Parts: sequence; structure tokens; C-alpha cells
Amino acid sequence: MTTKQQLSQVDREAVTRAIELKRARSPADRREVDEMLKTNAWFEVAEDAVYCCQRSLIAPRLWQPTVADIPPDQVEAIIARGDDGLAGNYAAAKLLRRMLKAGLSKYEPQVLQKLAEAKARRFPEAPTAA
Amino acid sequence: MAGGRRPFMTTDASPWYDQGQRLRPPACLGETERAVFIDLIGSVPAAQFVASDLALLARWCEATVMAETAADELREGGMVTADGKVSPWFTIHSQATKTLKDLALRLRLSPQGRANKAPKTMARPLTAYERLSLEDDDDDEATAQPS
Repeated sequence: MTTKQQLSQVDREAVTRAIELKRARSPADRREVDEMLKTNAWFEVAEDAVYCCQRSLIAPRLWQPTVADIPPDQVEAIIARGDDGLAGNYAAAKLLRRMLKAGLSKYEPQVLQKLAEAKARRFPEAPTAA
Repeated sequence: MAGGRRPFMTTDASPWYDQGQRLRPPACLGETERAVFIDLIGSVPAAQFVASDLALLARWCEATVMAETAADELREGGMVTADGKVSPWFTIHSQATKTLKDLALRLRLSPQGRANKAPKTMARPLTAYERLSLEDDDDDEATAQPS
């Protein structure tokens, strides 16, 4: 269910990019997005695109949340409850905290790439992984 | 025609309740070596290495970074120095590559270790959560400001 959302500039840019990334993945994905846009609210389609992008990148276990599933205002509370292991909420919250700290949206579709870019900006001299 | 059982492949599936069985990078490794370590253990079946392999694995990661650093230097500075001698980086590259070659056999990372008749277990890809947990980066410890 999607309620009326107040999106920040960063969030809006991220979800818009997620739709474009999903459309660019394959002709089938492009058709799916275009069909969904005819019948669903734009933000529902965007959330689905974010989910597709984040799930393929983060590759969580089937039952684990993606970062977009974690409300930003609950990040610290979830982390404070401690590691819940394979449930995945703690790990997702930690990743989201890192993203927010880097100025990224929780809807960021290119999570790992953007985090690496943010880290490279912070530590320009740091060696890169082989 | 060669006899025996046909080769087969399986996917490395760990029980849902089982976690943390992959080795963590030892503290002695630098950042780049840690990245090599995580890439390596994330690309082989979880059961391939045990804790007693850590020392060899650490040397593998160091040698990998040494060889790549030397290769970069050779690419930039050339193999022969201005005074006509072989670059010192050439020796480093050769030694590191030899170490890698030796360790590859011991750690079963070479094509020889993937012989045709050996049963294969494909590595289950690490989730990003597992990878970040292995990296154990401290740069997210500060309080974040939600957007």
C-alpha cells in the first residue's frame, strides 16, 4: 500500500533513476514498467523499481529486508536492539545508516556503487580493492 | 573413453540457521588486502577454508596486492630504469607471482585444483549485508541524519 509521500530531492532523484535503471535492464522490464505506469501510481512503480534494483545488488536472503524497507527514523532503534542475525534487520539498518551518512537516499538503486563513490570522495588517497 | 563417475556441480547451500561460517579477514591485513581476502572467500565454497588456513590466505592476499602494485609500477615506469638496469619492481613482481603460484596449489585455487572429475560446489554469493559485516568498517559508527 502506498500512501501520499513527501519525497526529498535526494529521494525523488533516486526513485526516478531506479525507474530508468529498471527500464534499461531488458525489454521485458521496460514493458513491465510501462504497463505498470498505465495502471498504478507513479510512486508504486518507483518503489517496485527500487526493490528490483536493490534486491539484485544486495542479494539478501529471501526473507531479509532491503534498505528501502527500513524507515530512516527507526535506524538507530533497530541497531540499538542488537544484531538479529539472519533476520537481516540489523544488517539492513547498518547499511542504511551508512547510506544516509553518505548523503544517499534509502531508495538509492545503485547502493554499493554510490557508497564506494562516497567513500572515495572522503578518502581520495585510499587504495582501491584489487 | 575415461571411466568413472561423470563430473557434477552443486550449489553451495548453507542451512538458514547457519551463518558466520566464512572466515573473517585477520586484523593484520591492510585495507586492500582485506578486500582481496573478502573477494577470495566470497568466490569459493564456504567449506573450502578453515581457520588454520588463515596464515596462508593472508600471505596470498599480501602477494596479490604486491604483484598488482609492482605491475602498476612497471606499467608506469617501464621494466628498465634510466640507467639501463632491470627495474626493482620486476623482481618484486616475479617473487610475488611465484608466491601466488605456490600458494594457489596449496589453497586449491588453481585450474589444477578444479580438475575435471572433482565434484564442484559453486559458491553461494555473499549478500551485501554479509560482505559489509566481513569488512566490519568503522566508518558508519557515527549517528546518521535521516534524509
